Amino acid sequence: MQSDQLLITQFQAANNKEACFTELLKKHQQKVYYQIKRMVTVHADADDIAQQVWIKVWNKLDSFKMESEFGTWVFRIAYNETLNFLQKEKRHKNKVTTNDTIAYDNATGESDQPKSTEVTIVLETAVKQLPEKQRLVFIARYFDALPYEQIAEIMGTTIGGAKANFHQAVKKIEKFIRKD
Amino acid sequence: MRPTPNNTELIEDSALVENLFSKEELSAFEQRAQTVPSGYFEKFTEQVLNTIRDNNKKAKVIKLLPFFRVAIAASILFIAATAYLFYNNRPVEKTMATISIQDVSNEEIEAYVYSNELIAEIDLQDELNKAGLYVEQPSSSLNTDSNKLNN
Repeated sequence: MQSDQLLITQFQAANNKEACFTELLKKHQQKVYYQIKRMVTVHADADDIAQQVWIKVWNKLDSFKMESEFGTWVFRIAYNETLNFLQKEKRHKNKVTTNDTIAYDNATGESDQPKSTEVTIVLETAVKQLPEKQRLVFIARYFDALPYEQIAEIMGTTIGGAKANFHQAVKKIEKFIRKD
Repeated sequence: MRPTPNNTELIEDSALVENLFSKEELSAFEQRAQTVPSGYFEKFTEQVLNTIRDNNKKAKVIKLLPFFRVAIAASILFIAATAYLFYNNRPVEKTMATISIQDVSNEEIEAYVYSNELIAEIDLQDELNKAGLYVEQPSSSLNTDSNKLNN
């Protein structure tokens, strides 16, 4: 398997663009999808966002300067796309509560999608009530085990900012659980 | 599968989360996030490539050589300048509608004369005054006539 850097160089040299892009996509698509899915929880939404992300990657890859890792760069695009989606969704579904959303997810969920159980409902609800930035840091830090440096790069913030967001997220989740 | 924490800070952060939720809860959450319809990722690649191909067909960018860019810009400028000059220097058609007096009814002529009588009188009076002439006003003659009738 070729390195990301080599594939990007070939892509930028217009040397069999589609093949290079396909290889990059296949290498990173799962991680990108999981990152989005943990944030939005519904497969159809995650699928739409993931497609938008990879189309953006195709459009912007020519100007990618390799100052950061390709994976971090794609995560950053995914993060911004997810943030846009969540903000739009918030405006449209202002009156829908988190519990309603989970009930809706279960009602419309795909057959392959495991249903939210008693076990996951508390965690999902707790994660969903977090502000978007804290939600991303919490997920990236715990589930992806990403270093704060990378999280800060994805979010376009400082390492201190990322750390603060993680600890605030933990506190909010704790408060939410105690309240329940 | 969640990567194993490999540094002290990450282990400490993970412990904070694991104090709040059981491992069962956390792995169930992760499993739910990682579950996709069968064959999803294989189809996904093809779907993305098809969308990109469609977009490329719709918005085909034509790259121009610098000479052609200048030539096209000059042509647009030339057309715009010609259009501007042509528009501003076009001969103004000074055609007046000619209407035969026979085509106008007597009522219309009378209405026109009547409605313009005052202005005509004022203009006429001005001209007479300038020429140093005096003409008796029709209104005063009318008044005199009416006085006579009353008497």
